[in-house]
Amino acid sequence: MIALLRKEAREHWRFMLVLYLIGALMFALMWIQARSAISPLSAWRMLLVGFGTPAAVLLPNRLVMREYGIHTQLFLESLPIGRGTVLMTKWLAGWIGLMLFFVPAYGAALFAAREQVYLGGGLAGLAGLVALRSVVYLLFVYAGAFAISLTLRFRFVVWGLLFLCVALASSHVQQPVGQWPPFLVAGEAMALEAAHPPWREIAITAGLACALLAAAIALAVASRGALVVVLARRMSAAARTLLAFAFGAIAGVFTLVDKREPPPPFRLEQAVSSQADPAVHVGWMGDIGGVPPQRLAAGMSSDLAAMRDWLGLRKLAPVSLVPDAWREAHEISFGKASPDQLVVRAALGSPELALPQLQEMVRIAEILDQSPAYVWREDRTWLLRGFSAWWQAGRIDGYAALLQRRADFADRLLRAHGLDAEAALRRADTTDEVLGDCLAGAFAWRAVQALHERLGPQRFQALMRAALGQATSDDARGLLKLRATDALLEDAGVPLPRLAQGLNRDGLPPPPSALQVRASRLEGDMFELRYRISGAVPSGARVRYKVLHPGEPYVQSEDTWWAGAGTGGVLPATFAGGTRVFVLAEAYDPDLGCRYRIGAVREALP
Amino acid sequence: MNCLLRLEHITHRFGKVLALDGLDLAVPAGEIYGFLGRNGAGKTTTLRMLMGLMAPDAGRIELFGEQVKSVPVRLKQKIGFVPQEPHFYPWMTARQLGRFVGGFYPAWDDAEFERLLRRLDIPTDRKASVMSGGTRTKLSLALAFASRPPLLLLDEPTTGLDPVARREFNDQMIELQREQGTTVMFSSHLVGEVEQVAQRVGIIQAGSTRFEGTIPSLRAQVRRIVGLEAPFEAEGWQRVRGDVYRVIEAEWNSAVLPPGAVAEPLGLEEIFLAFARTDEMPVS
Repeated sequence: MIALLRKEAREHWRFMLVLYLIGALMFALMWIQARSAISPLSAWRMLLVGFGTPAAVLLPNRLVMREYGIHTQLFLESLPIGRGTVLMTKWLAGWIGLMLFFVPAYGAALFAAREQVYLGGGLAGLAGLVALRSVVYLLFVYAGAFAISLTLRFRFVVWGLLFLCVALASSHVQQPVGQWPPFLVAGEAMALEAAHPPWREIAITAGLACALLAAAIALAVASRGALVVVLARRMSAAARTLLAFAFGAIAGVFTLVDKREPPPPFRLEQAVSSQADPAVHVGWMGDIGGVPPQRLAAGMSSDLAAMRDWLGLRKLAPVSLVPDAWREAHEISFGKASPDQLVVRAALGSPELALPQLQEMVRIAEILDQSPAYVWREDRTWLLRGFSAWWQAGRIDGYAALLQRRADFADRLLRAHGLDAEAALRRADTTDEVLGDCLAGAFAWRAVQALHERLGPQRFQALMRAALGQATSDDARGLLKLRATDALLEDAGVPLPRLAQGLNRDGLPPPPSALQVRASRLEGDMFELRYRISGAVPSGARVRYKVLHPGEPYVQSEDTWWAGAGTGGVLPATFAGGTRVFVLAEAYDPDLGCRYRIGAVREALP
Repeated sequence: MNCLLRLEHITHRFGKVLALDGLDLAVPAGEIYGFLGRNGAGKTTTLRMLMGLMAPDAGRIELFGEQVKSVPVRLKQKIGFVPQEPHFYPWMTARQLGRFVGGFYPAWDDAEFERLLRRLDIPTDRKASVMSGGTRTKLSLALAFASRPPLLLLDEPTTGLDPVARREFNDQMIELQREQGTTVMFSSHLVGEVEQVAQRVGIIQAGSTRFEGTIPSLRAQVRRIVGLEAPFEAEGWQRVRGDVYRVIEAEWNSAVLPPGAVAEPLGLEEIFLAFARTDEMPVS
């Protein structure tokens, strides 16, 4: 067996080397991508599925087919060694080949993730469980692919039948393929589920792998290996006819299976709903921002209907306001639910929830629902936000004055960061980073308000219809269809530079407080970062931070980590030279009625 | 007679096709046994059975004095094999093949292999993919002899070689057999080749043995009777085909043939044709 193993190594080392290089490259790319994922170990999971699966299929196919392709199995048969031993040695050689890549790769993954993921607990901990799931999954794919490769000329037929079965089953049976044991074992939760591993699915997959291994052995030794020899022969006409019937029969059988029932539509239990269209469901029984839910639902519905008519939008999607007590009052997010519903999550019960901000977000969600491509155009952001705030200001007394105060303060912060109005409008992500959502919205409102004043009601409406009322698809066609905001403003007779010029103000005082961040070397290449809030420090100020990775242009507040609540201190982590760290300080201002950014600093360590 | 290999009443089917039909043969130790038969007569099936690649449906195999149901790997280690068309790994040189093959035989002799390579004039550092057919067959012979096997099986090894290469191969094979005292079973459908190489011959037709013995005894037993007006019938006489009859030599010497009929000796090829042809005889 050693001589055979040596022969396999000599025969296939080039192929394996190429495979390893591809795997290493994929691992590196996936590791970079996983930096923004929920766990760095998700890179391992991506490698396992994205590279491990094809590698575990290709290896046995090459090991077996090459032998039969150049008829060297006839030479092996003349030696004093059984066919079963030959094929089992190949099985072992392929498995060793896989492990020679995956074991060091897993070691590297654990080493790289050691400071971000808790790897304690030995074999019962996350590291042991991920290793177990990886081995079981790879074993399943490899054993299956090896057994199929032993069907030689029939292997493509078997793969075809397999894919047909999986595709049909996936579309017909109630449980999607992703929930089947082998796929669940290597599912997305693999890097997270240390506490509740799917033992049942792991056991089923391991059992299937053993069954496939047994099938491979049976194929290899059946009739002293003569079955494999028979399978290596050209298919007869009768066999081809039989296979055509097999494909047809499988497809036919699946037509008898009922179609998968669609998931039940999203429905808020005990929600208060509006009567008019678009439907607004409020999942909170108490007052929201001082307004009873029934009144809020009805008011939002009529408000959305008015906006729909004004912008010339199509029928709006129903909206469900879902309470989420774990959020902070200013954190409002939205998404889609089946079938074609919008779900907006917010801390509905929080006394600090700003109702106008919630209503602005619902409006933005409805516009983006009809034109998802707006998300891809950074130059459209200020128009979208500003319009929603402008619409709001026209319906609440005194809201325009509040927005004005916020916009004035935003001006001071932008000036302190060296951003003029035009740059702030064009670079919406940077403006968000410097100002935070609340002040960035107010700054956008001021620009939209200025547009309204310059264009007059009718031309302003026409511009808004052209800029925000165009239905687009959620793909490249949508992006191609969208016109640049610059071009739309040019057509309307208010070019962006001229509009921005009118927004710039001279003689603004600097912000009352500022954030300073300083790096100090600890030892060698390691640094710590100290922060200090200078000036009139507002109460409740807090500092957050995030390590920046290449290609990460904009940081959302939710992605940052807590650093401290004092006026000065040290970030709780240490950093290697060359690292870039984003640090922000924010506070609530009663006069502005929202949180604002005292400062936002990107610090690059030497 | 000390036989290294004996097959008795061996039967084997491939589905509906009866490949071996009660085959009997015995290969005496130290001799070269010519296994003659047409294509499809069952020669390769017999040799594959002796290589342990298939088991008989019925019958008895006796190998090295041991009765076995099918040939196990431990006995296969004592058998050398030269196939009709050697399929070596194309990336291996002769030396690398020697090292690879040697790992499977306990009695492998590296020095002997090197000697055989020189003697058979096989290039040691050329990959198998660029070797000629004749060189590959000689390499196969060297690999078979280097394990010093008591029994060597050759499955039509010279098919595809030109007459000169065939003669060279056979000469070298005979010399090596003499040097090592190996028992050789040599299958072929070329009568002249068997006549040149073998001391004993077995003729197989449709999966069963039609004749087995030395070549002189075959010549002595099978003759043609010329001038017969009707088929000749007598006790102990076997009509092989047409006017070719088989009987023990003593009977030929004392036989009283019909008036005008004369017995003529036959060449090995004519004898083989008489045993192997299955087409209808033309009416004379």
